[in-house]
Amino acid sequence: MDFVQYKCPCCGAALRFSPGAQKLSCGSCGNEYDLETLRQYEKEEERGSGREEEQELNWEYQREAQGAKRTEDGKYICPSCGAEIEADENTVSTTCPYCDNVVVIRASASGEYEPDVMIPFQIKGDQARQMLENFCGGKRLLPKNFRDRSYLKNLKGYYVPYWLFDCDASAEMSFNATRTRAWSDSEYDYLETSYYLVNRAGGMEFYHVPVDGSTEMDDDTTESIEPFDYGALTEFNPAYLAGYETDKYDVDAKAAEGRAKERLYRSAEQVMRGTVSGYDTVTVKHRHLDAKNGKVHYALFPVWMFETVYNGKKYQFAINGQTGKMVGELPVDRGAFWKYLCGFTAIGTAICSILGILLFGGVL
Amino acid sequence: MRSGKRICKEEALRGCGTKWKNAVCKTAIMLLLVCVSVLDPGNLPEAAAADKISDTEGWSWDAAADQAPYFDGWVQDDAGLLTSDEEKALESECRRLFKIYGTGVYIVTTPNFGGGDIKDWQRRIFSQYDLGADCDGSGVMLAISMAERDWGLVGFGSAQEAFSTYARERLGSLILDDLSDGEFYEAFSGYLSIADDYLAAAEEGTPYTERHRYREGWRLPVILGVSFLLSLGISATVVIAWRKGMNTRVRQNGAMEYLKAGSFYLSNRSDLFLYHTVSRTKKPEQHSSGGSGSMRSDSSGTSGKF
Repeated sequence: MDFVQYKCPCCGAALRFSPGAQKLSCGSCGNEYDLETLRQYEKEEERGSGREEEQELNWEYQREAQGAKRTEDGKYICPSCGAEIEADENTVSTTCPYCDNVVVIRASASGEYEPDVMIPFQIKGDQARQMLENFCGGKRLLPKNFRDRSYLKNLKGYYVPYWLFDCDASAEMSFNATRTRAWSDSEYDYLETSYYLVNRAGGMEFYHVPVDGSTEMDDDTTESIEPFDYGALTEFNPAYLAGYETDKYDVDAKAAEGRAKERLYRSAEQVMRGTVSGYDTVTVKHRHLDAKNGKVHYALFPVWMFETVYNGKKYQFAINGQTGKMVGELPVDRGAFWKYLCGFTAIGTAICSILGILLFGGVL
Repeated sequence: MRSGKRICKEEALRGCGTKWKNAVCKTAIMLLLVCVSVLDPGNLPEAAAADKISDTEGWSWDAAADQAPYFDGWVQDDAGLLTSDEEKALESECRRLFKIYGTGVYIVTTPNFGGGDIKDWQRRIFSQYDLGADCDGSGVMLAISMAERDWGLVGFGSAQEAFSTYARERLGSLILDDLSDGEFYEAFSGYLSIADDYLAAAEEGTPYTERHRYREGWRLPVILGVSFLLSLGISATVVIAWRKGMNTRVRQNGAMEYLKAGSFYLSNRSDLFLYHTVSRTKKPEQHSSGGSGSMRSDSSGTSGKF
């Protein structure tokens, strides 16, 4: 016969059967438990502990590459006029200098990918320049070289490579939760705290979680201009690339998946936590997150990008080429910062002192 | 501790009431006066009273009976809280105030005043020793009783104008820390310095009252300091907000926008009650009056604990 020793969920001491109450009781803290409660508690404890938080996921790529048109000495041939075109291995599209045709440089055959979906530009260049000018217009801390409009010519349209991750995520989580009740009599204030073990398990689907595939693009910037409206997502068509610069990815999907998983697991946890309600405190005890049926797409998304260098530091400012959302970092003129701070402080001190002396009449 | 006679307890004061003791007192007094007048005619009680104001040693009234009260000078340190040098210094300051303002400024310490309201005890002392005799009944007395840890400040006669309730409470709060810390000389010096201010203001016709408050000398630097800090805080908030507006990038926390609508399902849901605990805390007791340092005032006096 197996002997099961139950431990007190409150203090961990060994429990003994109390014939009077027909329950298991703890000699250390005085709590009593039903056998069924303890059995469920032990089951949930076993299920929650001893598992890894995440498991490896294999992503299924959507479109394999086609062969590239390259000469033996590494030059590219215009399919329209046959001229040689200068391009590097990261260029996805460029314009033929002889026939002005937009030429898409196909990826080489060594395990690389061609974009399979894209969102075309909807914000035009003039619009984007006007938006940037409006944004910079009210900024008193911008350096002096922003005073004229010459900086606007640095605003360029790019198709930025993104990896889009789809998967089915599942989560099993357990929480320690409490509810409190307070009351008083003439002598004492009382507080009753009830302790609960809360378990939730479930799943959800994520569609096209984006992670940018270019080291040139700052991740903070590319995430900040989200979301893109996937309603406008279309099959890749090189015709859309004309007039804009396009770079191939240089961060492959495997390297990008870490960020995608970090985001979708955080959301899965948030969704689970949202189903635990009616308690005064809730803390996570165990979590187990998993993803399956992973698919990844290679996409090109439109971004208007402005870059500048100030005091040796690079600053990027981006406008979502579809929705017009503006984000970015502009340089701050430190001299202007201190000038305004000292000036406002001096004026404020003078005004407040005069008001104070008038109000309190404290001049002796 | 002064050698010689001490201010008796109330019971002792009242205890000098039997006829034969009074007769002995009167006889002894007469004999003494005869002896004194023989030695120096100028020291007759009437002459002594007339010369009191110019007497640099202060005045004294010697009681014949052992239990009779005895008051010597402006400072009566029966509790022995001051050294003789400290007492002399305080005495001379009291004398100076009397010469300038014509008000008797008294300091009295006692080991035990017998309980009750120290202000009433002070009023009895003032009348018992006729302390206002030289100044038309005008005086102010600070009294300390060590056993009860009581202090009292009472104004008499026209000095009540200079020592309004506001003025007395302010003075009490200013010297309270020194009294509590046992720095009695510092407390009494502070009392005399503040009394000087109060009497000077009353003489100018503008005594310190609730409507005409004492202007603390530290006000202007505080106004400047507060203005500077307030302005700095507001300016920094504005300029830092401008700087924050120059960087609008925000990393995404999750991927909630990419959660497919309607795809979420729960496969297991359980809320298991484990146990409960009950704790209790005793309610604090209500005190009818405040703790140490609380002050109580009536029409002419203020007292409290130190």
